Amino acid sequence: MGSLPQLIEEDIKEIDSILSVFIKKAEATSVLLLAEGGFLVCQYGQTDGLDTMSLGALASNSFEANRMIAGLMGEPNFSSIYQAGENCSLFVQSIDGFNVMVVIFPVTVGVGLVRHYAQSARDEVARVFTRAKERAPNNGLDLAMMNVTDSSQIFHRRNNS
Amino acid sequence: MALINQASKEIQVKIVYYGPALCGKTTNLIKVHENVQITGEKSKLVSLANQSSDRTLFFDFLPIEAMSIKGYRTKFQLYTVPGQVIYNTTRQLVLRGVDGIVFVADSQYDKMSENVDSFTNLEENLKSLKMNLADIPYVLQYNKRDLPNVAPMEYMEFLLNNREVQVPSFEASASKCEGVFETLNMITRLLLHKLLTESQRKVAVAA
Repeated sequence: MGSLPQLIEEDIKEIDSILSVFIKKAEATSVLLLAEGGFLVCQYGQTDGLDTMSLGALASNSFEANRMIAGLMGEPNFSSIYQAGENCSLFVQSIDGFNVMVVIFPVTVGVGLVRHYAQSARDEVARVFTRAKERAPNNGLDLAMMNVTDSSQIFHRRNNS
Repeated sequence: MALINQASKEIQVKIVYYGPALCGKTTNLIKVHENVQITGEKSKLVSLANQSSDRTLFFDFLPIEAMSIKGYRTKFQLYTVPGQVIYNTTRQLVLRGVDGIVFVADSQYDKMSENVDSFTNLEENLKSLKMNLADIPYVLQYNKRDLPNVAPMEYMEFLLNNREVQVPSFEASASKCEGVFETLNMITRLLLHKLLTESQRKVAVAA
C-alpha cells in the first residue's frame, strides 16, 4: 500500500475553497476530485441523482486509457480530455500525474473557459495533495478510532446471516 | 494505494480480482452484488463488457461499504480485469493503485497452464508498476470446484501457492456463491490488518 496519503480537515477546507471558486468562474455544474486508483476524494456542485462513485471510476480509468494511448503515439502525455455532449459536456484534467479533476458543464459554456480555470485550480489542488503526501506520519495518521469488531466477517451474505 | 480522508473519517481501498480468461472473476462480483447485506441504497455493478459475448473488455466495478467497521466509513472498490491475453495493457491500467488482490484460478485440469501464465503475468504487471506481489495482501481462490474434471487442491497449491510465505486459499463455486464471501472477507481482513499495522508502526516511529 506504500505511504498512506491522508487528507485532514485543513486539506479538505482548502480544496473546498479552491473548487468553489473554480465552479463559479468556470460556470460548471459539478466537479469531482479523484485520487489515484479512481477514489472519489470530494465532489462539489450539483451531484444529486448522479452516481459519482461509478462516474469517478469510469472517468479515472478512461483518463488512464488515454494516457496509455498517448504513450503508444509517442506523446509524453495527454493532460486533459474533453467529451462534448448534447446537454452537458465533460472535461477531465490531470492534476499531478496521479490525481484527476472531472468537470461537468453545460454545453452553453465554452470548453476554453473551463480549461483556462481548470489549469489554475489544478495547480492549487496539486499543492494540497503534495503537502498531504509529504506530511509527517505523526501529523495525522490516526486510525485509533477504527474498530474492526469482527474482521473475519466484514461482509455478510444476505440469506446466510 | 488506499486513500484516508481524516476529515470525513473515510477510507477507500481498491481490490482487484485477477486471473485467466473465463475463470469466474466477473461471477464473483455479480454474486457479491446480488447477495451482500447492506444498509441503505445498493451500489451499481458497472460492467464494461462485450455486448454479444459478455466477456469483460475493460473492467467490472463494484463499490461496497463495510458495515462492521466503526469509526470509519470503509469503502471497498472491487474491480476485475479482462482475462484474455491480448488485453494486457488494460490489466496494467486497472492494477494502478491496487491495495489487495484476489487471484481467481480455474480448477479444471486443462486450465492449469493458463492459471500459471496469468499468475506470472500478474507479477510482471506489478513490477512494471514498481510494485511487488510480496508487499501486497492477496488471496487465492480455486474456482469451479463443482465441475467434474478439477485438479486436486494439493496440486493447485503446489502450482500457485508454493512460496516462502503461503497465502490463504479458498475452494469456490462462484456460480453457486460458494466461497465468494469467504474469499472477500479474507482479503478485506488482510487489508485492514495491514492498514492498522502500518498505522501503529508509523505512530511508534513518530513517538
